[in-house]
Amino acid sequence: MNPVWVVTSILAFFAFCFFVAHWGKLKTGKSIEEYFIAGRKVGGLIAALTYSATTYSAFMMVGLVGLTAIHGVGALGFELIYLMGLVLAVVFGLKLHIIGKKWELITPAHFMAKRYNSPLMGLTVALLYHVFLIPYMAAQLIGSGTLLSSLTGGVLSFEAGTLIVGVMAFLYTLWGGMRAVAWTDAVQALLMLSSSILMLVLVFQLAGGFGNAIIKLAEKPELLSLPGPYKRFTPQAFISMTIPWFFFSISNPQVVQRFFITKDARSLKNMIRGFLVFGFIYTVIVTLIGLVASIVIPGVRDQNAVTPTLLTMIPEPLAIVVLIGILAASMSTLDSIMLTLSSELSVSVVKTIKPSCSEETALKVGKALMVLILSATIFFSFTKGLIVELALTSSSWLLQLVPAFIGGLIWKRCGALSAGLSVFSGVATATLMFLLNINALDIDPGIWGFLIATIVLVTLSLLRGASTSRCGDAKAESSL
Amino acid sequence: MKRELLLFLIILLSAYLLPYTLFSLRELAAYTYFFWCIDALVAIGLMFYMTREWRDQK
Repeated sequence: MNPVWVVTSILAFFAFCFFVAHWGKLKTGKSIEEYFIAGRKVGGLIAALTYSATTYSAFMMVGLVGLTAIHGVGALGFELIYLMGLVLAVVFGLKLHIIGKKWELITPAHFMAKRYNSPLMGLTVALLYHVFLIPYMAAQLIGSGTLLSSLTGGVLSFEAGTLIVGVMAFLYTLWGGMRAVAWTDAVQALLMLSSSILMLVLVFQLAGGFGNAIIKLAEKPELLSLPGPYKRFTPQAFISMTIPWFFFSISNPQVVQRFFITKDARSLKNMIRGFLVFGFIYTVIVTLIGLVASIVIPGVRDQNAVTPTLLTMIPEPLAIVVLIGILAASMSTLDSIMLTLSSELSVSVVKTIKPSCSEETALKVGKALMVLILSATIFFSFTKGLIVELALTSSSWLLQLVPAFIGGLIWKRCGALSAGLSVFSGVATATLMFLLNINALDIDPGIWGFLIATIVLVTLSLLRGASTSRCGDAKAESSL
Repeated sequence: MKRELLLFLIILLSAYLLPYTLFSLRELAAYTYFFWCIDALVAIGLMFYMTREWRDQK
C-alpha cells in the first residue's frame, strides 16, 4: 500500500477529529461538570453512539477478528456474553443516573467517595482505575501501531504509529472535553460500523462469494464448535474470559461515566437500547469476518496479524477506508478512557489532596498529570502484547472493584470499612495468585479475587451491628 | 423485575451450558453460532422490555 496515501488519509482523519472536537469545545462552559460530563445534557442518540464507540475498540476489528479466525466460534459467545452483561446497566443504570444528578457526581470514584463518605476510598479507586486501565489503553495503541506499520510497509514504524495515534487522541480529548469526545465518538461509531460492513463484503469476495465461503466453513467443523481447533475455549477458559467481560458495563469507569452524561431517563434508555442494537450487529459482523478470514488466510497464527494481512489483499482505497474505521475504533475508546481518567485525577485525586483548590486549578492539574499516564501507556504498548489478552487483563483487575461498587448502590449496611477491605482483599488475592502463577482449577486469578472480594464484603457488612450507622454518609443513606 | 431477572438468568446460563452440552453433539455443533445469536437476541429483547417504563420522575 502506498505510504503517502495512508499517511495523507490519516492526517485528514485527524484534522476532521480536531474540527469536531473544537466545535464541541465552543459549546462547552468552564465548569468541571460541563467539561467532563457535558453538563448532563447529552441526548439519547449521541449517548448511544459514544457508548458504542467507547466500548468497541481495536479489540473488535483487530483482536476479535484474529481470535475468531484462529480459535473459532467461541469468540462469538465470549463477545455476546459481554453484550448480555448490559443487564447490569439495566438494573443499576437508572439509579446511578438519578444519584449522579442528586449528588452532582462526575466520576465513578466520586460516587464511591460520596457513598462511603470517604475521600480516601475515592482516591484509592481513582488510582486503581489508572493502573488497571493502562493495559487496555495500550491495546488500542498496539492495534493502531500494528496496522499503520503493516500497511505502510514499515515506512511508519510500529512505535511511531502508536505515538502518533496516542498523542492525537490525547490532544483533541483534552482540548474539547466530553462534548468533543461524544461528538467525535458519534462520527467514529458510524465509521466503525460502515467500514466493518465494507470489510465483510470484501472478505466474502476474497473467499469466492457467500455460498463458497459457507461450503468451505462447513468443512472446518472444529472452527464452528467448542473448544475450537486449538482448544482455546475450554469451559474454564471460557468462564475466565467471560466473567470479567460480563461485568464490563459497571467495572469500567469510562462506561459508568456515561450514565451521568444523559439529559434524562428517556435519553438513558435510548442510550442503552441503541447500544444493544449496535453491539449485536457489530459483533455478528466482526465474528463473521473472522470466520471467513480463516478460509482466506488459513496459515496465519498471530492473532494481531489477521486483519493487517486481510487489508493488504483488498483494493487500496477500500483498505484505507477500513483502516480509518479501525483507527476510529481505537481512538474513540482511547479518548473516552483518557477523559475519564483525567476527570478522576481532577475530582478524586487533586480535590481530595487539596480540597481548597479551585475547579479551574484541579482541571489544569488533572490534564497535566494525564501526560504521565499517556507516557506510561505508550511505553507499555511497546511490549506488543496480544490485544485480547491485554483487554482481558484490564477487565479482570477492574472486577475487584465491582462488589464494593454494587454493595454501595444496593446495600445500606455496606460501609466504608467493608468496601475498602473488599477491594484490598480482591486485589491482593488476584495479585498474589498472578505473581505465584497459581491458576486454581485453571480459572483466572481475577475471578478468584472477585469471589474473595464478594465474600469479604458480605461477611463484614453482615457482622456490622444493627446499632452502628449503616452508611458513612447520612445524606447518601437517605438518598439510596 | 424479579421475574424478568430470573428469566434473564436462564438465558444467560443457556449461553454457557448449551454450547458445551447439547451443541457438543457432532450433528448439532455447527449450529453453535446460530444458537448464541438467537440467545443474545432474546436477552436483548428482554432488556428492551425491562427498560420500557423508564421515564423522568416529576
